[in-house]
Amino acid sequence: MRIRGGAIALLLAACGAPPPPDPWTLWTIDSLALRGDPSVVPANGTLPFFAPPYPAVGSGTHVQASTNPGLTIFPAFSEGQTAAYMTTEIWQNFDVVWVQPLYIDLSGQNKPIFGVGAGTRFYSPFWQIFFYTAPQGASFTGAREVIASGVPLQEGPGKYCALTNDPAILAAVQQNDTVPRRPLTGDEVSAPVNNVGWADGVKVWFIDLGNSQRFLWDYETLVVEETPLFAFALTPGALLDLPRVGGTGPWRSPRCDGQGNCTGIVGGVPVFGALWRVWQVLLPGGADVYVPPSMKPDLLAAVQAMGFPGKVPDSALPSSAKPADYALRVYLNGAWLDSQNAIQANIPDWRVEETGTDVACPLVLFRGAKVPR
Amino acid sequence: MSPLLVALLLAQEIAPAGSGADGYTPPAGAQPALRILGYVDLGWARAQGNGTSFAPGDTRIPADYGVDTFAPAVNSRGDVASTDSGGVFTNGFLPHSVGIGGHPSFLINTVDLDVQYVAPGAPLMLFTRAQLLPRFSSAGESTQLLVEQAFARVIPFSSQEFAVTVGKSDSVFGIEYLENEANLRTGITPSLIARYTTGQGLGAKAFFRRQVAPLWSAVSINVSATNGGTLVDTLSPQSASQTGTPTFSGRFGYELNLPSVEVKLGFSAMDGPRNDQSQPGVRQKALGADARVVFSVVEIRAEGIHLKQDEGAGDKINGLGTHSVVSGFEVWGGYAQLALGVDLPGGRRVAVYGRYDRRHAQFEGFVPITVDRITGGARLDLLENLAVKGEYLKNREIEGAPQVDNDVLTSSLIYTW
Repeated sequence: MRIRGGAIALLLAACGAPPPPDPWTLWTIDSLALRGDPSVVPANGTLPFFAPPYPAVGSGTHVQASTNPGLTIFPAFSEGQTAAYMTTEIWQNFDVVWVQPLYIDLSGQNKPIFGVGAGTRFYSPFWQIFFYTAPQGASFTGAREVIASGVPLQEGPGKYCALTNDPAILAAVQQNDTVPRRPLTGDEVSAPVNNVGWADGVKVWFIDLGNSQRFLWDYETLVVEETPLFAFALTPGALLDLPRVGGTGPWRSPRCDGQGNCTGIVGGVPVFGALWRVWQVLLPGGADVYVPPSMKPDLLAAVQAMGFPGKVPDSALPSSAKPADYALRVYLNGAWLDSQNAIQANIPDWRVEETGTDVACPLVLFRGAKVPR
Repeated sequence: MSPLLVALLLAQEIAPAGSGADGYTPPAGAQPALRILGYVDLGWARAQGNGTSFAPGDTRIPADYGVDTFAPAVNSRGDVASTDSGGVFTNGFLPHSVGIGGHPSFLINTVDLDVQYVAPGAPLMLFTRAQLLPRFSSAGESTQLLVEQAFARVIPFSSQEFAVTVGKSDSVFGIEYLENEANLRTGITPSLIARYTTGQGLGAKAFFRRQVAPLWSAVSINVSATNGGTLVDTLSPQSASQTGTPTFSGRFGYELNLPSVEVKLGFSAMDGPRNDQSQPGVRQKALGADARVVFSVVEIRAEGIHLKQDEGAGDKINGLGTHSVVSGFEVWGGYAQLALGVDLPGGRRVAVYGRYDRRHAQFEGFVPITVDRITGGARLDLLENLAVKGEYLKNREIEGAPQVDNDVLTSSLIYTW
C-alpha cells in the first residue's frame, strides 16, 4: 500500500509540476509591438517623451504618423553630449548574443537572404555579410539554397538589420513633422529605411540603417561585443525613467575619454553603439536631476516624483551650453554623470551592476549629431 | 523456476553471439553461476567530405540545429566520423565521434566485457557490461571506459513471465534497442531515430508477458522509470537525475507465433522531464509503433516515433557538457528494413539487408529539416563467434538542411567470446 501510494505521488509529481519560467526571452520588433512595449508606437499613438510632462518639440503634436507604426526615439547621453537610439530587440537572461550570416547577391538578382528568421532565440539583428554572385537566372530565398548552390562566398563586414513582418514600420515621426527627432531637444536624428529580404524562404522586412558597421564580434565564437548602457536607480532593481548613458567600451575600459574623443568611430558611426548590456547605477544621496526652467513645472514634478529635489542650478551648466541639452541629466557632487568615464570616476564599483538585459539600440544621434546612414 | 523461462526473459538484454533479434536461448542448465562474456568490434570506415553533416561555408548557428549531425554513422554505437564544426558554435545536439573526419581509418569500435552472475537456486541475476571505447579526437587520446549496463534482475514468480530489473539496462521503447550491441545487430549502423529510443536507462523496469496458446499469441508489457528516458547519453544523461523526477516509458507488445510466420507488433510511449534540465516541468513525450514479420528467410521490421521536447527552463547539461538557450524540439521519424538470411553449411550464415530511414525534425524557431538515408549491406557469420559485415549509407538532405557529401562506407569484424 505504501509502495502504491509512493508510486502515485511520483506520478503526480511528474505530471503536475508547474510550468517552468522562460529563462531566455527575446523580444523582436514584432513581439515588442504585440505586447505594447513603448519601444514601438502604433500609428496615431501617443509618442513617449513628446507629451507632457515632457516638452513639446518639432510640430508639437506628440502623435505618431497615421500611416505607419514607429520605433520610439529614446533620449540618452554619451560622451558628455546628447545621444539617442531606437530599441529593436530585448534579450532577457542571455549571456551572449551571436552574429548570423547574411547573404548578399552581388549580381543584384536576389534580395538579401538572412541565415535565420526572427522566430528563433538565436536570431539577432547583427549579421555578418557573405557576398556571392548568383548564377544567371538563379532565384534564392533561403540560406540553404545559397549554400547548396556551391557559389563562392566572400566574407564581408557586419551589418545591423532588425527583422520585422511589418513592411511599413520606420522610426517614430510626429504628425506634421517630416523627420524623426530626439525628445527633450527636438534634434533631428538619422532615419532608417524599411527594406525587404528573405529568411528561410519567407519574405521579411528589415530596419536598415545603412552599411556602416555598428558592432564588433569575435570571429571565432561569433559573439557580438556588448557595451554598457547605464540606467540610474535610487533603489536596487527599480530603474528610473531617465535618459540612459551610453558607454563606449567594457567597464573600466572605455574607448573614449568622456569628451567625445574616441577610437572605434568610422565615418561618424561608432562600432560600439548597437548591442548594449543594461547596467544599473545605484545613485548615492546627493544625486539630483537637472530640469531647464522652460520645462518646469511639469517635468520638475515628474523628477520630484522619482525622488530627486530637482534643484540643480542653471549655473552648473557650462556657459555655452543650451539648457535643453542638459534636460534630465544626472548631477552628483559637481559632476555630470553623462559618460561612462564620468560614472566610473564618480560612482564606486559596488554601486554599478550589470543586469540580465541586453538591448539592440542602434544609435541615431551621437555626440550631439546625427549618426550617418 | 524454469531455467528456460529465465533464459527467455533475459534474452532481450543478454544475447550473446548467434542470437537472432529476440536474443539467445542458452542450453537449459548448462551455465555456470558466474560467466564472463564479451565481444570485440573492429572496424574500417570512410566517410565522404569531412566526415560531418556540416556544409562548408554555413556559419548559421547553432551549427547542429540545421543539419543532421548523426547521419554519417560508422559503427553500431552510432558514433559518427566527425563532429568537428570548424569552430562554428554548436549547442549540444551531437553524437559521439570516432574523429576520423573524411579519412579512411581502421577502428576499434568496442571492446565489450560482460560479467553475469546467476545466484544458484535463487531467481536473481546480476549483470554488468563494461565497454572500452578507444577513440582519438582533436584533443588527443580520448579513450573511454563505459559502464553500459549494470543491473540486478529478479523473477519473483516461477509461474509467471514477470521480471523486475533495477539498475542501468536497455531501453523498453520500440525494438531497435534489441540490436544495440554490434554482435547482435544484423547491420552495422543504427537508424536515424535510434538516438531517441536506444539509450540505456538507469532506474527500474518490469516486464510481463502472457501466452495465449489457443491463439498462438502472446501479449507483453514492458515499463520503466528511469533518470533520463530513452534518448542516448549525449542528449540525455542517465547517471544522475537532474530533476528528481523519473521519466516513464513503456511498450505494449503483441506476438503471433504461427509455425511458418512470426508477427510482432508494439506500441511505445515515453513521458517525463527532460533530464538535461533541472526542473521537472520541462517535459519530453514520445509515441512509437513497431512491427516485425519473419517468414522463411525474410525478416521485415519497421519502427516510427514522434518525440516532442519543451523548451528549456535553464541551461541544459547533457553528455556533451553545459549549453544555453535550450530550444523546444520536435521530431517525426522512422525506418523500414528488409533482411534475407540464409544458413550455409558448416554453421555459417549469410544475410543481406536494406533499410530506408527518414527523419523530419525542427528546433523551435528554425526551419525544419528533412533527411533520409538508404542503407545496404551484408553480414557473413564465418564461425559461431566470428562475423564480418559491410555497409554503405547514402545520406540525403531532402529539405531544410544544405546538401552535403556525408555518405559512409563502413565495415565491421566482430569476435564474440
